[in-house]
Amino acid sequence: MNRYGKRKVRCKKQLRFIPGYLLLGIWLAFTVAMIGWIILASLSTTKEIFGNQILSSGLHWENYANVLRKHKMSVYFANSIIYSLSGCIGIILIAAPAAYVLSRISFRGKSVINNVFVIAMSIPSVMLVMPLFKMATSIGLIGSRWTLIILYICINVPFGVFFLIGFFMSLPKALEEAAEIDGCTPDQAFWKVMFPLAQPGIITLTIFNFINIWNEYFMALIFANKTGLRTVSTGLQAIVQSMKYSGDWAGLFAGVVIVFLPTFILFLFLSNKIMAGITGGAVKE
Amino acid sequence: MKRVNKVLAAALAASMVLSGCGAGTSKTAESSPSEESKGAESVAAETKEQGSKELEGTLVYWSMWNDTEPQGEVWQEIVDGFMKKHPKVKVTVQWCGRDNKKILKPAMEGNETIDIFEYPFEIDLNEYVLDLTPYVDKVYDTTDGKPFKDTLIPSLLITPGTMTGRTDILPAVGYKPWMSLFMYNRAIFEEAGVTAEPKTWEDFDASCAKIKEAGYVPITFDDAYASWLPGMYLAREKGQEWVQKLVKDTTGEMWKDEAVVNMAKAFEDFAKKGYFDANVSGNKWPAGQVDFGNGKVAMYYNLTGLPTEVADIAGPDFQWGGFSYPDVTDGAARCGKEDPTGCTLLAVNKNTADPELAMEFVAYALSKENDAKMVEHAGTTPATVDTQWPPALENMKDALELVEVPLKSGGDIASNPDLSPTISENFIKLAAGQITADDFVANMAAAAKR
Amino acid sequence: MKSKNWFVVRFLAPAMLCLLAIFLYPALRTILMSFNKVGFVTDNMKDWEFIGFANYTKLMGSPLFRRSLWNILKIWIGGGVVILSLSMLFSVIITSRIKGKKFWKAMLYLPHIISSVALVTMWMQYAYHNQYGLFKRLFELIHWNSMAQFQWTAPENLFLAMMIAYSYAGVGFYMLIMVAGIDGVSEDYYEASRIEGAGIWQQFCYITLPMLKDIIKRCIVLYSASAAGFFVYSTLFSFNTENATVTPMVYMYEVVFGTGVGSSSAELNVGAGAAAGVLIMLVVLIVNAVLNRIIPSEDGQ
Repeated sequence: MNRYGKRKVRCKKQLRFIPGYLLLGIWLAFTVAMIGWIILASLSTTKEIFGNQILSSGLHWENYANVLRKHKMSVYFANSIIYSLSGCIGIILIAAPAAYVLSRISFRGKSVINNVFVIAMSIPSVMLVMPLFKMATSIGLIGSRWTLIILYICINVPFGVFFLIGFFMSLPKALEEAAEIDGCTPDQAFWKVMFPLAQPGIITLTIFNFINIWNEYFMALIFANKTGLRTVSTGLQAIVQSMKYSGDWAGLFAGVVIVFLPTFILFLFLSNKIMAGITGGAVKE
Repeated sequence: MKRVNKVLAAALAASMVLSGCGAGTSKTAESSPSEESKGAESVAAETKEQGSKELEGTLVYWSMWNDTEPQGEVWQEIVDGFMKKHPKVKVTVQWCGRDNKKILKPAMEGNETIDIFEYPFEIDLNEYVLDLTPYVDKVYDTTDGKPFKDTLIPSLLITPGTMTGRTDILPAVGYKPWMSLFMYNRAIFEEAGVTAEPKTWEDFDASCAKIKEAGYVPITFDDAYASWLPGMYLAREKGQEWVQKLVKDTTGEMWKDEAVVNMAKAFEDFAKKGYFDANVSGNKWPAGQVDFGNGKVAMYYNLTGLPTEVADIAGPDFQWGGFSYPDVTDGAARCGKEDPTGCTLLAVNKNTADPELAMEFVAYALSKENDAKMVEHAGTTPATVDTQWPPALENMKDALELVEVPLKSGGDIASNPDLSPTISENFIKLAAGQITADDFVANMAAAAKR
Repeated sequence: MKSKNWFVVRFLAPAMLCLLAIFLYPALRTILMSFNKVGFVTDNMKDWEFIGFANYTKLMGSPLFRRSLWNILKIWIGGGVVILSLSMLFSVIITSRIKGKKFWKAMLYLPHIISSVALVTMWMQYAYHNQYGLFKRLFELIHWNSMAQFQWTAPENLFLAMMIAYSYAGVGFYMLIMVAGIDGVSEDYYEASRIEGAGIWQQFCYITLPMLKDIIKRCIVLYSASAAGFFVYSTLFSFNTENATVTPMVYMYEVVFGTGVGSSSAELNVGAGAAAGVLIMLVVLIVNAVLNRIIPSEDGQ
């Protein structure tokens, strides 16, 4: 085909994609409109919002100051970070060894235990909350951060095990023997050799867990609904509620922006890693 | 890349530790972990000859307010003032917001230390309240030598019982007495030429017509309170007890009663005449009340607490008024005599370590001085006798005092939680002109049938 | 090999502990609870009152609970079809040779990462608002007046509104998974089919779909799990429990921690909440079983 023909073909090819571009464009326009308006509204006053005259009196940065001052946003963020980080670390510490053992060492009852983990994963959390609540109460843990930390770790362990089994299985068999020859105990063999090699999987899993715990709402609502313990999700809900009762709509939108901005910025920088994590978390190799 | 990760992880870990420390040092507004309050022993108050008592101990107060609301701000002042007056007392507040309905019960079941709390009457916490009957007879620091109960408006000692269904004990003392009224915009009424508050349904109809002619929307409501309008109509017709029976009916036959049909037809009529705002079909709270505050709509059936909620939007020049739900044809003369009324309930935990201390705090909070603060700053109705009413609510003062039979909100039509969503849904459609009165009756009868 | 067994035990024990303490014991206890009348969540077992299946019959007799089951069915099947189809559509678009693939991927995925509370607030207080909302203004702009008047938050439309918002946040997630799958399909197949003259649609039907069977099944499984636990959007879209948005989990929360929905007497019966939980669990099991039948696993796991 001559050059003219090739160019025509390329144009025609791109033309074929117009419907695709159109759809994506609509989605993009909607996203920009929504987020954009919210940001503008957060800089207006309540009266203006309802009167359809956003920003007619200039930028009201004090809405943000008000929200930050009146509400314990820093506490909510701190809590979310605490829960997410400790959750992720805890999950890895518990799930990785278990996954290793289940994937590479044969012993009696292995398949039974494997199945038990799979079954556990399919139990919806709604089945568990009531007895868990009672258990937490009896131990006197209601009102402490530990409750939710422990819960977030334990709830996510089965999936972590399931996920990591795949990774460990893909490592070469010869590694254990080599480690043994080098004089490592089985413990050291795991922590010094296998664990570092499973890094990609572990990082992927961690990102997946982090996002899930960060956005979690149901358990946080039940187990951590005091001002000092709230996470970002339940905290924002409390803010929204209180703004509705005091009629401060501009403040409400400011609160929304404050909550969504950090995740958004984080996503801007780490989008590739995050998306890879999500995909890896859901697609078994 | 790995090194960056490590640095990042270290930074996050550091911030976690730091913020953990930061969150740990609580300000007085933060609630202390239950371990702290459990450990503290509260010592009995020493009474001195005259003047203030020397009080000591800790109190935990779970508030239904948000610290950002005017009421919350006043409570913060009350707490600070009490602690200043009694330096050996520590009061911590947990600002639950309206979610207290959801979190109080789990917390109390979890043996969380809560001494004083606003009792959300929609749920049943009767197991946890202290009977205050002996306590209100006593004299406290701030009652000027009078028994506590004499300083409060009488209804505040009665309605706690009717609201919670416990008439054998006094489950709580009230403050901020409220009434359910048709809140209206006096400026619109004047402009439209409505000179008197409607007392019968015909008057009401005529008033709406005049308002519509003057170019305003007569009535609006939100999904959250939708069932109050039909509920009160039925309560006017047949009384609250009948309404309570109606919603518990499982045959569906009661819904076909003439009373229900009349009610449905009345609202169908109003819908046809265009008396309801066009947006009622989709109003999600607080959309409707914002419309009212904006001056678009003349009337909004709600509580006397409304002025505080829409203060920002309504502005200081809004002319408030409120009238009792009108009497309806085929109903007894109940307007002005039977109305939903109640108060915010302030209860003390049965298991509180020091009831005397708790009551001193309650008495302090409801003292004339603090009550006046609440009225002024939050625009609420006063709890103490002889206190000035806020300007917005002045003309409703008589209504409150004339009530003979306290009702529950909406004539207690929401007392069957299973059926309530259906009632609201059908009424919204009726008022929006989407279904007819016959449809309404048929739908409700079908939904009620088991 | 005693040391080996000890090693296995040590490594496995923490995870097993989690399993027993947080999954198996509570699940069993919930099942037991569902056959009893339980006053408070924190009651000890001796305070329970055995009533057999009474909780279940009362539950099924409650119109609100039945409605919640119907809602969850709509969410699962209706929502599932729409969301997964949209995801499929976008994933095909993205993996075709358009420009800016990374950007579009990120844009589509962004809503999934943002807190639901923030998103729903944006929807309810802006997009759907019946006075100054985005949709209203948009339709007014193009003079489509009947749509401009459309009350998104009316009871009869609320469910649709909720599902639209839910889809907006969900499509990106499933799209990512499918893209990963499609990327794994060798380009040779497409090349060969193009030489034979196959159009986009044919390529899709005969190459993409079959190769993605496993991925699609995984998406369905994931979606089913999230549908079963549908809670956040329901509570955020409704002030009181509403027919339009109630789901079994919402119902359960209300019975146990809320306003005593489902008890026509004043007593709260947590056993009913447990029964609701068990029913949800059964539904999940049935769904999984059905899925395994309809779409057999390729990789013989």
